Amino acid sequence: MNQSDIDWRVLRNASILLLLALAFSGALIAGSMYYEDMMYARYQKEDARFKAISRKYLAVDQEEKLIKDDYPRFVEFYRQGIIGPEHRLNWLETLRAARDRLEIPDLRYQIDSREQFVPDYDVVSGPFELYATRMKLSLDMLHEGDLFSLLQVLDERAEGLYTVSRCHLKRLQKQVVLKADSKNLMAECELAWETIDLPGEEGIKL
Amino acid sequence: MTSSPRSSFEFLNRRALYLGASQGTVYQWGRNGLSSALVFDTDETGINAFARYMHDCPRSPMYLLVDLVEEEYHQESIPHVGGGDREALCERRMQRLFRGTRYVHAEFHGREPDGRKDDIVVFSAITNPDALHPWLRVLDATKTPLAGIYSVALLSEMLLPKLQAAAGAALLITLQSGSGMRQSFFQDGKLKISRLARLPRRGTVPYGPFLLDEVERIRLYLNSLRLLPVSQPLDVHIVVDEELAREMTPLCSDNELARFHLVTSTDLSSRLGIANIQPSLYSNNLYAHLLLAKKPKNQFANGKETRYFALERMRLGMLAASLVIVLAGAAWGGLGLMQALGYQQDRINASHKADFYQARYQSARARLPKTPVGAYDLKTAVQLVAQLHRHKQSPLPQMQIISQALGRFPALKVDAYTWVGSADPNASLEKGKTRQAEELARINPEVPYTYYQIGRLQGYLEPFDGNYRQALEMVNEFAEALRRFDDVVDVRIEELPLDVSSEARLTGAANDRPGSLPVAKFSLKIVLGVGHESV
Repeated sequence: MNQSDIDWRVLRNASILLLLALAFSGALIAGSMYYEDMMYARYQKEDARFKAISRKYLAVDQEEKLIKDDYPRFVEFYRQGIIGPEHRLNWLETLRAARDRLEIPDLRYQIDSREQFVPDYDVVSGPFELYATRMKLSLDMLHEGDLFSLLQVLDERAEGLYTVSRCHLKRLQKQVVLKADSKNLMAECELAWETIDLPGEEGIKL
Repeated sequence: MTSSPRSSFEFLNRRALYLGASQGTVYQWGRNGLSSALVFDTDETGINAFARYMHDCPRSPMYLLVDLVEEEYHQESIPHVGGGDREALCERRMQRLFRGTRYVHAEFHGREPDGRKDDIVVFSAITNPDALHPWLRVLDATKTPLAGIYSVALLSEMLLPKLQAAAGAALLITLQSGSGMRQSFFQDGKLKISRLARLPRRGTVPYGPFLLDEVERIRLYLNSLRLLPVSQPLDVHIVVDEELAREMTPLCSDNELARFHLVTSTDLSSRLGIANIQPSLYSNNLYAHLLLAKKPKNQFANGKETRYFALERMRLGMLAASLVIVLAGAAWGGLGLMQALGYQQDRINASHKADFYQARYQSARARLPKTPVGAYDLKTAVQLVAQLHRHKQSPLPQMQIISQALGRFPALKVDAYTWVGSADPNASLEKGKTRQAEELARINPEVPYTYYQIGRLQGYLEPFDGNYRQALEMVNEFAEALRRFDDVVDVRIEELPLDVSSEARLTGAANDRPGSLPVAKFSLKIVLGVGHESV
């Protein structure tokens, strides 16, 4: 059959119907796909909301336990001046009291400003910053025991947490003189008073 | 003549136009076979009546069955070729054999057994196209789908298996009203030649002898054409009614040249599975039924003549496709809709559950005490403080070790002691300075510690009598005593009372007296490990 033999009038209505069927079917499929996608997206959104809130709800129990276990210690560390602001006045008072009690012939101190510091070991600090305040102690002693007694007083009485960074001891005279106010040794030590706080000016406040 | 409203969905119904010399008969195919027949004369009046009928009736497919005298059959051999070459060869041969008609047909009957093994072809033609044209014009004008043009002779091949005449030489004789007596010769079930003879009106002559005379005549004709060897017997199958069968039975005696098989049309109809066929002398209905039941491939019509049939099939295909597309779209859409409704229900359930847990969560959170940071951050802070505590350092441990060791060496006096705490066992004791790596052999502890205390002890020997050997031994023993303590990672002698290495310069007097002797100084570096990494 040649092209010229085709009587399109015979196929006209069927062609129109076929096109309409394609259009209708296409519209049905497209519409159903669109609607299905839309419903699925809405479902996913609600499902994500449900999962998030159920995780948070389950985590509340855990949070309650953490607060029960750790908050009292947190508060204690805050009171001790390890978390939050440091207690400098207490340090000075403790040094003075120690000098008097231990009868250290000479005790001088220099306290620098608090600065951020990064320890030489790995830490997980979370949202907190680590701070250190350098305290230089220079003392003339009767014997080296004075130094350890001083550090022990700081351990017992001073509010905060310190670590000794370095120390230098030197004999001042060859012959040891065992008199109360003799200066047989001198010591120069650096202490780092460490605190934990939130960054920024506000810090932790209880 | 009957008429019915035109319908576009009549494709399942069909009709046959049986065209003889003097009349055309339209047979309608119904649920149980042939249902009705309308006869039209072949003159102008009949054609007009046919046109009116076709105009008024539903447009169902038409099968045109021709039974005319003007039919020719030629058996020829052509070289065996394939594809387009074969078609071209046949076309040329048919043009040569049948001039003036386009209603030609070729049937291939295998190949010659010997020689070149050429193809054996029977070419057939309707040599009087004018007999068809008036009918074809009506069909085209009414856009009737013409399925094809067929000849009774070629159609007869379908009867042979039912007559058990599919092998050997067979002659089939049938009588048609409006046409005459069709004599068709077959060899192994394939039509070789056919002719239509005029049939006298029933009752004017005895049909029995007449038919037998025609049989003899055609047998001689076949002999002359060498289609049938002279001595080969011929199976003659004659289809008649009961009455003629009874009349011819005593006349049809087999001989060495012919074997007669009388078959009634009723019997043949029943063999073909045709129900409700009226007993008849004529085989018109039988052929019409066969054609409409079997619907063989078109034999003589060209593409233009069958175009409405093709278009109708295309139209129905498009309608079917439309239906399938709509159903598929509806099914797909329906599934999608069901899925969407499922998602909607799931969304509602998830929303309810989320609201439920939201309320529970808020209630639970309200019960918690207020803290300056989150619960997990509280834990972090507490753990961090513990970690700072673990790394708190003091020179006391190292000084205690040194003091214990010095107890065994009263002659060793301490002049100065420098101490540093660090995570690096190779950290420098000089603040702000780092020693060059090549000046020191790096310390690599076998067991790593959390922290290290690095100290430098500077001292001298007193009393010293100038015995450097004894002094050196004492310092070395002191260093060794320190090394024996647990957790002492490294002890290095940085300065001996006398440097006796080959690189040093020595000065002094061999007769030095006590009091004028130089001081025997020494210096040691001690590294102490504190806490293991697993702590």
